Amino acid sequence: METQKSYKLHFIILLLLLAIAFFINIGLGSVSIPFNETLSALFGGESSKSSWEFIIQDYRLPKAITAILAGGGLAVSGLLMQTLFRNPLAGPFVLGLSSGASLGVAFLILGAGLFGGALGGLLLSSWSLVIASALGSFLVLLAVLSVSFKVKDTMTLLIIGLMFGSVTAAIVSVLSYFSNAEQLQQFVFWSFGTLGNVSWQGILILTLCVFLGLGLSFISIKPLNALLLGENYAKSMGINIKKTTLFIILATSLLAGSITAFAGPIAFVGLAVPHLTRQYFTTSNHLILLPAVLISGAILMLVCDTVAQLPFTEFTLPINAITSLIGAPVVIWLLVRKRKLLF
Amino acid sequence: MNSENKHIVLKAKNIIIGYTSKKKTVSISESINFSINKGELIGLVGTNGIGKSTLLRTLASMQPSLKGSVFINENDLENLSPLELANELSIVLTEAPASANLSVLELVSLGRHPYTNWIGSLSESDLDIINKAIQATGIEALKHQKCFELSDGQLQKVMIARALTQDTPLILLDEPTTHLDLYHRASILKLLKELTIKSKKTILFSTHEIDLAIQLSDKMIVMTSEKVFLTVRII
Repeated sequence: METQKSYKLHFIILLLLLAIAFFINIGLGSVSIPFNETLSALFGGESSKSSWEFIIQDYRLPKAITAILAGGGLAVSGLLMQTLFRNPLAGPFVLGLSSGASLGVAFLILGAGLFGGALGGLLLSSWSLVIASALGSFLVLLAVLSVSFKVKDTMTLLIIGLMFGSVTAAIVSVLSYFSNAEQLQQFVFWSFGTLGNVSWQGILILTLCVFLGLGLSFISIKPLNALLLGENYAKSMGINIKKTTLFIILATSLLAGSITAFAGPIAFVGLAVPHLTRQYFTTSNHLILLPAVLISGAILMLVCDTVAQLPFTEFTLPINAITSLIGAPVVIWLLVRKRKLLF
Repeated sequence: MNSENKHIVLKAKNIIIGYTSKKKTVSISESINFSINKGELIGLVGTNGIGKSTLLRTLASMQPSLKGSVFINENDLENLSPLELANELSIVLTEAPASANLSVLELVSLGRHPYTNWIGSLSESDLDIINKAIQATGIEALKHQKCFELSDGQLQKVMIARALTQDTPLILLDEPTTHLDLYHRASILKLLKELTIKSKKTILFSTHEIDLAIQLSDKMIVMTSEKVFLTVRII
């Protein structure tokens, strides 16, 4: 796809912003640490206090990396969904993917009690959370997709996605009703979303899943561009629609599923970031949009996390609430300004 | 038409078009037979709902025929892979591009898809073909506009430019002149005529513009409820 101009400068600015957001995110937190001490702790130097070193290396750094992975991954999965469903309102959240993941996790956490002590403990390891969440989101997306083969109208499809979301939410309610307070609290905390609870081992798993998902997205760049013309045109240009759809779905469920497992359901990033990016990068070419959306998502998530951290206080707000608080007004602002959401 | 370049590009052999669903099969035509030679401009006419679009969709392999076979350059349509077909045939449909945010240049360059590598990078010769298609359709001035900023007539020309960029011997167009005023209807059909003469493309288009089609087409396919037949121009 031939594009109007080179976007090198845009990317340099984005990467600079990412670096700034990264260092601010690491520099700010409940404990005030001088910036030069932060840097020295980060790059393996000696800090004047060993507790600072621990805070930076074992709490803030993994949290920032999780934010980058989660923000970038969710934003990319939103872009994929918008192109696949040819609908500007599509995203991992709107189509019930996140609720699918929450259903998987609900079955795991709330259902673990049914299996009792030892087995229940085994089920709650970090791997099983990922698997349950990814499985849940994959199943919901599969259901939405199987319906999409019958229903051609994308608006109908969105409503069906919302319905799937309602059904999963209802099942989660029923599960909650029969579970004890402890399990319920665990599930509610998961649904708040948190970036700070991921261990280095967890980050390894998350990175693996996100990179796999991104890899699948990158090899789908060409078919994604063709899909901008619609399925019939894409097919007439030799694109294998079934294979492409499968790849995009696998990529989305890997990204959204693994991120939701580790960080909880994080709303609006997937929907809002692609639109924000399109304001700055005035192209539809996925070769440019995909990396741009990836970086923008990471920046937005770092900023949201910095806000959620409430610097210098001991409180941390749920990240899910912050992304909605920032994301929803942005979408409204876009709609009011352009009167139309294009993709 | 000279007899020397009577190379058959598109041939329909006893095809019956229609739809199949779980419950029943609806055929909307008797068996259709025709063959189209290289460099011909063919108008496809018939009343609303007679099956013009269905015929075009069947020829473009977007839906299967109920019976019979279609040959493109002597290859059976059924044996061609999507990519092989993309090298033989390009289409212009009545549907607008799904993304209205595409720029004209981006849209036209998408036509090179069957020839580019896995990431879709364009070579010098690709860029050259894109520029030629933009010149041939006279849309240089629109190059950097977005699709939602275009009028129906402009968008139609852009879609034709994309089909040209795909550089196939055969182009199918579904009602390229709908929603256009007389000036643009004439200019689009004239453009198609030029393409058949200059670049030896074979073009099949459906239309309700019988007057213009009679004047410009080399042959016409007429669809009636009883029969589908190919008429040859008598000068």
